[in-house]
Amino acid sequence: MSGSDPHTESPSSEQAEFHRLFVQSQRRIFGYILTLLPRLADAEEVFQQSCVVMLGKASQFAPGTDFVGWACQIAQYEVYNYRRRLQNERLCFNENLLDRISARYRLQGDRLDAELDALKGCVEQLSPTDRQLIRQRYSRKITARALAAELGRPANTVYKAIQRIRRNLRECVERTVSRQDRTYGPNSPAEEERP
Amino acid sequence: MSVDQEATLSKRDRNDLFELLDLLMEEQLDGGGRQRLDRLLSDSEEARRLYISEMNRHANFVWECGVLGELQEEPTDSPLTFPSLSPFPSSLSPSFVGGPVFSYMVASVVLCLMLLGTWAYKISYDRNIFTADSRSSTTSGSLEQRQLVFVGRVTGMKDCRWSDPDAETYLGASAPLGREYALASGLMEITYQSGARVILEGPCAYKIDFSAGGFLARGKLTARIGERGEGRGERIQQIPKSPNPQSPIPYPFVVRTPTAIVTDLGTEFGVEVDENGATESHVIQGKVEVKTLNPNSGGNNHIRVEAGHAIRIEPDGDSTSVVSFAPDRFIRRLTTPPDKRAEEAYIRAVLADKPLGYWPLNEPANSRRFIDRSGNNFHGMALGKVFAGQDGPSPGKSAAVELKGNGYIDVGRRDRFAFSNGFTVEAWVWIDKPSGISGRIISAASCDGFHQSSGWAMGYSGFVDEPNAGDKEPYCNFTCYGEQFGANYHRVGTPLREWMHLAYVFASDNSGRLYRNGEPWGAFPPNVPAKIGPTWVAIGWGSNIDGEFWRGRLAHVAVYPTELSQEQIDSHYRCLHKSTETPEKK
Repeated sequence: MSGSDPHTESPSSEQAEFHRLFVQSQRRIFGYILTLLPRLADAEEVFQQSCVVMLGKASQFAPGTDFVGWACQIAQYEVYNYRRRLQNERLCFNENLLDRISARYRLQGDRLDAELDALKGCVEQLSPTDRQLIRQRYSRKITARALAAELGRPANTVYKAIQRIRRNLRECVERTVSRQDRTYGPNSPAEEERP
Repeated sequence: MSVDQEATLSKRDRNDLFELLDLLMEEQLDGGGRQRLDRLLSDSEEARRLYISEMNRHANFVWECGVLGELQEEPTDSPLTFPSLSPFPSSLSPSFVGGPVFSYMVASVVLCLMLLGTWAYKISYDRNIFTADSRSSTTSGSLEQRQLVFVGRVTGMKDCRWSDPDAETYLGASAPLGREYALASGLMEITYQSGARVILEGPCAYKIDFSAGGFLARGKLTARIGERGEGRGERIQQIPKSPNPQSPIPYPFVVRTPTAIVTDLGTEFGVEVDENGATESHVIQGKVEVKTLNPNSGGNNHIRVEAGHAIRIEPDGDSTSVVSFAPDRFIRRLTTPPDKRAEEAYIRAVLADKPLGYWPLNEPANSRRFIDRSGNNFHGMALGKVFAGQDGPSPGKSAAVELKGNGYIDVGRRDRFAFSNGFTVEAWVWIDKPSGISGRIISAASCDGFHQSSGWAMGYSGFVDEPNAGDKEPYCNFTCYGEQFGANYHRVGTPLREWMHLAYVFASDNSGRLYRNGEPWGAFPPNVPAKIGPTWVAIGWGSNIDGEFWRGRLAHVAVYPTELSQEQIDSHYRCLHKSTETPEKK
């Protein structure tokens, strides 16, 4: 430590590539974890731990291979570890179902990207007040009930409004992606065609 | 039964699935719901596909909005209105989205708008005007006509039970104009952005109907305005005009009741409204003006009440009498036992002020990577003796890192931390025994060997062995903005092995203000102007050639690209202050 400036070491190109992939894939990995552990606080904790493990195992990643697949494998292991510490009443899904959801998630990767692209356009089409509400709901990471309390509105009113916005977004995304499927033909991004 | 078939999800099951998913995302799914969801997902591949898509959208919103933070400034002057909560679907024209190219264009625009904070609200004191019927103080106007304006924050809670469970709040929640609080029992403190503090004692009903006051329909409150008059609404540029004769809303802090308007002319007072609407006002410090309100005649009287005195206004709004001064009836200080929610409240409060970098440092034991929660991805990596998962400012409830000897957290080269305007550094710190070395809480500096040649830092020095220094106690040492290391020294003895909240505001005129536990702790004249250069950021680094850096614990290190006010710093501190005290009466 002493005798040299610790800030001057430059990372190797492999390290730089790893970090690029790591940053690029974080959103996808977080989505994967939240799908397996739907409670936000649980997912955030496992995401954090998974990131630590991934960085610790960076040297084990083979450049040129599927980074997201590698990362999801680590995240899945961390999810299972975490579930073992959870009390039963907080657990969603049995392990068999968890495996099937996990397999399906990886299969659905390209479609999820297309859906996220479509989502941005669909959010744009929401009314300003709906956009505002959904943003309020998520920016503070509080549930509709807590948001309602903050806004001084009945919880059910806010809950129903958020439910309606989600339904609108869902329908808009499905419409947009199915239109793109028709445009590009049956062998493009739709995950159903992938092996 | 056949499973895993794409077409097996009936319309009813599909609707059921989305109902369950809404409950799941809102964390309201009970055991029965979990079983139904489990069955649906086990039986149908299509259900799993829909589930993954829905949860991925949910995750995306969490991710995007986490990056954006809360309450960012809106770039335009046009205020956003309170969201319409219409149960009817808004129009989503299918023809609007023309194709993938258009989709990418829209995506780019949306992302840019998001980065500009277009979805956010502008909090403006100029807009903190809300008129309401002072008698009943019910919400006036439609939701669409209301502006969501935050005038403060919930900074203390103790054993709160709510008259209306749907209207409960939580520690650290923003307090918007128009918000009503109905406490069945317990204590709750609201700190206004102006600095005024109100402690509500249940049972009571209170509504924030003005940026510097509120309507107490029944129950008891104590208002503390600050010894130097903080909290009286000095920043309000526009005196509100009210059509309501009972609601003149003057400049000072005001508590209205059904039969009186109690206007602060001093610093601290208590108000109690009984079931019949009679009002008592007890002046603890300074003085108040009480204006009586007769609902029938419309007449009123003005009475000045000095410290140590109390007055009662009967339900008719006319009869007044002097009553015994009884300050012990009012809670004057509220401390909230630390808990996990307090830490979450602290994190929300920090994010609301838009830090450029924010490292809670509350990762579990053995973590070597420390997440930047600001959303800017300035994550840090531990080097040397860094131990995560130690007790934090709230022992057993929050975590911190402990650094020993050569340990520090490297954030890397981050030139955005070379500020040309004012900025603020904030952290919770616990100093272990210094050993004749310096340790920096956080530094952003261009390094020349082991000395910084530009940039800034915040930390302590302990020169206990240096005969001429005259500093036998460790003290906080602040360097700022200049080329010269150690430009601003704060030579006040610094407590050891005790958590404290420190914040240093590097002002744009190169002066500095230091705060400890929310209170001013030092002020420094303008220093050498900044020398901007390549900037490396490190937490817990130091300048000692033997690698003896910060010794002690750190938590919630944050850097803001703006000058925070004392009110902001204090409201952060109060979310997570160390306390085991119960509410007390002075």
